Amino acid sequence: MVHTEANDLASLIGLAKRSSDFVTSELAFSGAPLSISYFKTLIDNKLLREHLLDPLQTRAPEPASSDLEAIVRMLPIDGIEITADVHVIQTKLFKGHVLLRSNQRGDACALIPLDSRQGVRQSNITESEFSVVGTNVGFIEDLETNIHLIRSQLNVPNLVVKEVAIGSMSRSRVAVLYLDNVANEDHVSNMLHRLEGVDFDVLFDTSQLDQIISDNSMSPFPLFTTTERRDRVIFALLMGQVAVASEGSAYFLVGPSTLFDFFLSSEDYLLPWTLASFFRIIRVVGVVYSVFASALYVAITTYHYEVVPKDLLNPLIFSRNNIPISPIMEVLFLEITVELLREAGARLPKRIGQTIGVVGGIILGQAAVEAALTSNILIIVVSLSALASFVTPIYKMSNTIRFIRFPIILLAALWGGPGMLLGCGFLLVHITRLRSLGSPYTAPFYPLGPKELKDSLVRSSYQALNERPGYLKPKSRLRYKPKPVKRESILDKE
Amino acid sequence: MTEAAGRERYTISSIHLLCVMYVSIVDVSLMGFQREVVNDAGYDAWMSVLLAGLGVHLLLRLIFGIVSRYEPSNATIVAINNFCFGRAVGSVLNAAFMAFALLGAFLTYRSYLEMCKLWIFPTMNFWPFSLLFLVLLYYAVNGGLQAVAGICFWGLLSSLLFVAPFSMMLIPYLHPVNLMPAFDHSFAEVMRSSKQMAAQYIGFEVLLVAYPLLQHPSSSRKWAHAGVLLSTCMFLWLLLAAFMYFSRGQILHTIWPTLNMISVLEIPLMQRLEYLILSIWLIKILANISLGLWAVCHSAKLAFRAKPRIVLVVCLLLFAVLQGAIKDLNDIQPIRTLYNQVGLWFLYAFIPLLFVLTWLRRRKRISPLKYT
Amino acid sequence: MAASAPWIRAIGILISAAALSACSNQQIINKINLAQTGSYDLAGDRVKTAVVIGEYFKKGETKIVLLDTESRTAFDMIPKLHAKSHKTVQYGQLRMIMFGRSFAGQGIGSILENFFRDSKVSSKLQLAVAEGEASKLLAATLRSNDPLYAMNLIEDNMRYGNLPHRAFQDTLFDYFGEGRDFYLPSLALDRGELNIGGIALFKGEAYRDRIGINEAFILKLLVENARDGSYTMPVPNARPEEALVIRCISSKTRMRLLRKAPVPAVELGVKLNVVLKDIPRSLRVATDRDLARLESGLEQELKGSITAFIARCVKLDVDPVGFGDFVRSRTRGWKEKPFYAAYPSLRTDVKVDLRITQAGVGKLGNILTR
Repeated sequence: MVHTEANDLASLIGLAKRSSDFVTSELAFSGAPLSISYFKTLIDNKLLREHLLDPLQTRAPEPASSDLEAIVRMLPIDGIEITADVHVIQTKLFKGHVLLRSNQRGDACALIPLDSRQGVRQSNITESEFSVVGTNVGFIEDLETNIHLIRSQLNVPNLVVKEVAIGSMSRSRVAVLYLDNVANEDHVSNMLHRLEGVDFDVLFDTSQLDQIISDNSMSPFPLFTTTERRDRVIFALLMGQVAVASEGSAYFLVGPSTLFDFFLSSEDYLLPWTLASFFRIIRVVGVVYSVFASALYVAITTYHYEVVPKDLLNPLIFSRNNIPISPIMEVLFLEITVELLREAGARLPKRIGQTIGVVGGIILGQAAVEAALTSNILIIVVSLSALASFVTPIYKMSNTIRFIRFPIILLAALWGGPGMLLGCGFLLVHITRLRSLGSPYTAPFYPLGPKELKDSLVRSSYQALNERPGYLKPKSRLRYKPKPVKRESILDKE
Repeated sequence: MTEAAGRERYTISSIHLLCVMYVSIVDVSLMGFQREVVNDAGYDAWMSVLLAGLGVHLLLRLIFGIVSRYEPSNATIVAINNFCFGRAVGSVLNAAFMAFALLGAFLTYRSYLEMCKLWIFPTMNFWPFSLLFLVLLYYAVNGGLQAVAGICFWGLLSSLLFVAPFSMMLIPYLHPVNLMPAFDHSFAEVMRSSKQMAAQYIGFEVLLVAYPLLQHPSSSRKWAHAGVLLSTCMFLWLLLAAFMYFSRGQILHTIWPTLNMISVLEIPLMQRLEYLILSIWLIKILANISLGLWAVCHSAKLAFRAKPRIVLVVCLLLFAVLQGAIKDLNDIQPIRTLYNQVGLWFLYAFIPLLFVLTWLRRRKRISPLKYT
Repeated sequence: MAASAPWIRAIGILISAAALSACSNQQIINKINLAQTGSYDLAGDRVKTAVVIGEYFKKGETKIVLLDTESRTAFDMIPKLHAKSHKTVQYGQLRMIMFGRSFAGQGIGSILENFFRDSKVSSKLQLAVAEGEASKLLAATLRSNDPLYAMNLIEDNMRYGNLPHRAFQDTLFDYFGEGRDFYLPSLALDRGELNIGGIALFKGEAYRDRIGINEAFILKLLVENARDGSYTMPVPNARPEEALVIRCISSKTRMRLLRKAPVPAVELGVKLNVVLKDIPRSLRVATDRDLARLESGLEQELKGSITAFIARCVKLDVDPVGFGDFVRSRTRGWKEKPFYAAYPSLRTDVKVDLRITQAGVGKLGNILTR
């Protein structure tokens, strides 16, 4: 590990002075010499002039006010801290505070927060999680703004924000948010405990935390929901989940999560429950198709020709007829092509990416069929399953889905149907054993919660959703009192 | 973490006892039990299913009667044997129980492989496949009862989602007139066939090991009975379906009537559904075997303070070695007969005996065997 | 989860080992020849087998190839055919088997049992008996470019014609079951085209006789709730050469056991709704009374045909309708032997309830008197 702590103020200043952007200027205030030190790249010049230099120069010196407290009282700015603790000073100095020292009074310094908010984007429209119905308010790379966004919608004192610093180099502020009258204490303390135990150098994004504090870091499945949507986080808090935000990241981490959380979209709660349920089922069917379709193709064409109905024999055999490679190679070739298109599309700028996707997809597909490298039935199967893998509202999950298909395809190539189901068995055992923040990942299916099933594969009406899911062990189950629905027959009343 | 939460990591909620019961009862034999019961009672064998089911419900009452007289944390067959027969005899009985459960798991495992081999891959070398299957078993059982019960849940779900609805599609192919005339067999014949049927239920004794790990042992009774009822319904339906699908002479020529029936079905884009069902059946079989293996490992821990993980690895190695010794179905059959014989004695003689002994000794104080 | 890493490695090794073993078992769908229709014939004391194989080179079009071989037994068809084909021949898609008349006369029980035991053979396989040599009929289908031409012909006739719905499973049901004899469609060549000649009746495992396509309708009526069969019958109260065709819309047959022993007696209640086709000009149905008279006339005709059909079956000592099975279902301790000893004297009492449905857009009377 790199040694990053200075022992005393002098050595700290000495270390800092080696950088060209570190400024130390001396000035005299009512006769007493003061020194101001700061990183000019970290602070806002306008604020420095308005809040520090101008007051010091224009205000009439009061008698006997040469000590720091008096000077600080005079400055039109809050949050100034006076301390001699060199660790605090170091931390704050690098977070955009100006160091004000009186040369008479030893090591005590005033730390004046003048950090610049440079580099923070203004627009907070969601970038990757989009919804057509409802707002698209997302988070940005600034912790204060993000917490502001949460607080502005949850106007209760029960929303607790606790901060932890993570990263030996970045000292990122990581905030844990929860509703203290809803969230289970075990989850909160577990989350805080895990975050406090993190030793890492620089935290780039909250998504990293997902892996660092995960219950099982070997798993391809994301164990915490990562989201940039405000409504998702607020909904999660309401349900009794714990949210984690970090400085410099537009993403929140929400846990404990279940597998099914990744299939929920915030739109589901805005559409009528019948439509929402239908779309959810479509999503799940899509994902199941995406995981098994190519494998099924391999299994059938390699081993189980018996299961092809007689009317499908002609199209299937005809389309594979001139293909020199075995079905597994054919599928891998096409699957990897799709992965390449996705990868290239994601790396290129938006417009070019789209073009590459369309052009690459169509031209490559056409050419591959014409060159008799793949059958056109397989093109349909693979592109449909690629499409279906993106229906999960959380991008991390669709990556997982795209990944877990490959072992199943390989197993299908080895042992056909039983092989596929062997892969499926591994998958099921794996997700059954997974836990997110100590609570089961496959809830509410296993452990089965009949009440929680109301908001799983289907979304029931709001009358039925008045309770929080039990697997989150919330402190209070009741969310709201539903209005009793009267279903009257018009025929009876007439 | 609080103590309750700590316990929660290892226990299962009582509703999952339904899955555990169903999975432990319904194993590979669901594909071919019809042929075994039809020998004696002919097409009146549906009565045998009902009788055998009733018998299991009674046994379940006895089992709950036994375990409820012990401390919940200590109510396993291991502790009960030790308590009723003393340490020495108890240990022998425990070892026998473990061997019995292991044999059951092995039979299921080997029969499933044989089924896949005969039906899907007649010429394939099954070694690599079975080894990967053993790895999967290790992964499942290593997760403890919670993971095993989870697989049981998926197994039950796969049964309900695939086997049950697909078998409903058989209805147009059935000849209800086959079942007539009913009650054409003597009581003795029905009883003999009931004995055959009762053997299909062997496996639910795993409850005697899992009982302390139920979240609410007292409220689990109804779920256990529901599980048995569900399996009885499944047996009954597939029995009746097979009786109506095959003529009397034909069913005697059929090794796996259930599979054979399903083979006639077609869905869009797929015919010969038995290939699909047989593959999906793997999940159910996985659950069944894991349950047996878990019972062995857990009993070994309770009885002999053995490390369950080591026991598990030894068991799986044993599977790998023994599966080669069995060449085909003809080798499996005598072992299954033996297993069924022992199982019936265990269920219908030993459990009532335990009940009586427990009842006689209930005045005595139960030695506080520490449950770990 | 620290233990996972070695496990993943172990799985990797396993899979690569398996990859080597798996290849031998592959049956890649375009690298095999699918035998879809087959035939068995007697050639002297040897068995001549042939299969039709589809080759899918053109979209929506199939070139079919006939492979044949001769052997001492009926069971080495596939291995012998391997030697004649550039790809391995697989029979998992076999959907149609034809037996030559002489082959069927020798008995096909062992073939049925072998196919039943083989998990590759579909329960939906269609079986048929060819008038004359089956391989000739097979060769006649080559022009159609459909390897399953014969099967499609048969299944189409089950759905819309006079053949009862049957497949391999039903044949096995009858073959193994007590109190039934199985029957198969009979195929013949008519001016070089394959056509359904009627139904071949079997006793035990051997061919006994065949009935024409018109009589097949009677059998269909008796064994299932027939739909869409048609039957040509003489016009009641008219010159004998005048005929009309009834087309069945729905039917239901109920059997009732009148007497069990010593001579079983069965009542057959046949209800059917029909529309009339091919009505001769001379037939005048202007009033409801005319209609009722026509109905009762047709009922009498049909009753006569059914009775004659049953009498023919009894004379041949075959039981395609399954009277034995029916009596069994109503009798405790039924035995096959005594029943069939008494079978020649089986008494049947046929009741027909026929209703002419006013189908079509015009009034029935108008159509009839047109």
